[in-house]
Amino acid sequence: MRLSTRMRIPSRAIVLAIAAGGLPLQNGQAAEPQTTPAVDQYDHALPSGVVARLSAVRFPHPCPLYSWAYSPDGKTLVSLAEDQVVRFWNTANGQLTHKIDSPATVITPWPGQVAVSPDGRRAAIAYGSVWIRILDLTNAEILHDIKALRPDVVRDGWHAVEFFAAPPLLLVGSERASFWIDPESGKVQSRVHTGRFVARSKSADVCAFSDENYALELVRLQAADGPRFQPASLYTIRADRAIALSPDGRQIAVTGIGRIRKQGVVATEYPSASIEIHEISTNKLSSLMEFLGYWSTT
Amino acid sequence: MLVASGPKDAGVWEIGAGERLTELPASPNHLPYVFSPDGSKLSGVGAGSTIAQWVVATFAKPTSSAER
Repeated sequence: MRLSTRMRIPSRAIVLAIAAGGLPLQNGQAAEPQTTPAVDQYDHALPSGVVARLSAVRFPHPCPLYSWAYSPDGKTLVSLAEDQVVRFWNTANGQLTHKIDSPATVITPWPGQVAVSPDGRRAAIAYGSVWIRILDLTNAEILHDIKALRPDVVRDGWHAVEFFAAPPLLLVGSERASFWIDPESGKVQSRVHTGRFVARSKSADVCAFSDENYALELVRLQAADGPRFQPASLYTIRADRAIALSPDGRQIAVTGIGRIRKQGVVATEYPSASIEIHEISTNKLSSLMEFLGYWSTT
Repeated sequence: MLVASGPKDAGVWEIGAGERLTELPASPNHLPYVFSPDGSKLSGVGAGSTIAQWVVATFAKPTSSAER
């Protein structure tokens, strides 16, 4: 079909507008491709034939992610992926700065977790419930590999890790107990709680531990005279539901709660398709947000 | 602020008001979203095993003056 004059003019105008944006034309023909490095604005290599990538910092992994954590200054991201490789990233430009292979072959159904110390000096990696590795966050040096007490029993393996500022210890949760580990010596110091460590508030030392019946105990860390936890509250939740503590340690968000018990008695029942926020000090429900299906809360 | 992810999508709530500010993509494999230490950024699993970051300030509802 022959184009009318009225249609040709705007069509040419569009071509010229694009050319002004960067594609040099010579006598109406595209110029020969210049030999510039095929990278995006963050110096990430581009696939063959791709001339540009319009995107933000994206931290590409070759396989599904398991866990990641920011350094306290927000400049470094530490990630663990399904290939059991730990990667350090520069958050400003997305550059991969360090890559650390796993201590040994780790094949368990438990994905693993990453934590970074509040002073920004250490990172802890729980690999598939078998190993905990302590890394120097400044240079990715491997400091300690700590094997689970019963690594053949997944329920007893290392699952959750979290650093504390005072005392400067690492809290490690397994299905049947939680322990303090000294990140400097790599030694397991003592058993903290008979429950599994599941969540912690970021700026107040309130932690949540879950027992085998999925009863959730909220405790507050007392650092003086040796670290110990003082009970704060008690809830009963369903095992597969998500838990998050507010940074100030005053509220807990749980999803799909079935029952709340007080002194062992079912006090309240709620529908499962909701997010509930409770005031820890009073055990009272403060907000209820409807949402269908939950995996995680933050 | 609270972020919760389910199998179909994720939601961001202002806890005090109980208001749902925005929706985000569902997080795969039950992985949680992660706030940066200063709370300014939120990170989650992006397309193709990447980590995507959101600027938390952009979740806030526009003020009445900004809406005009």
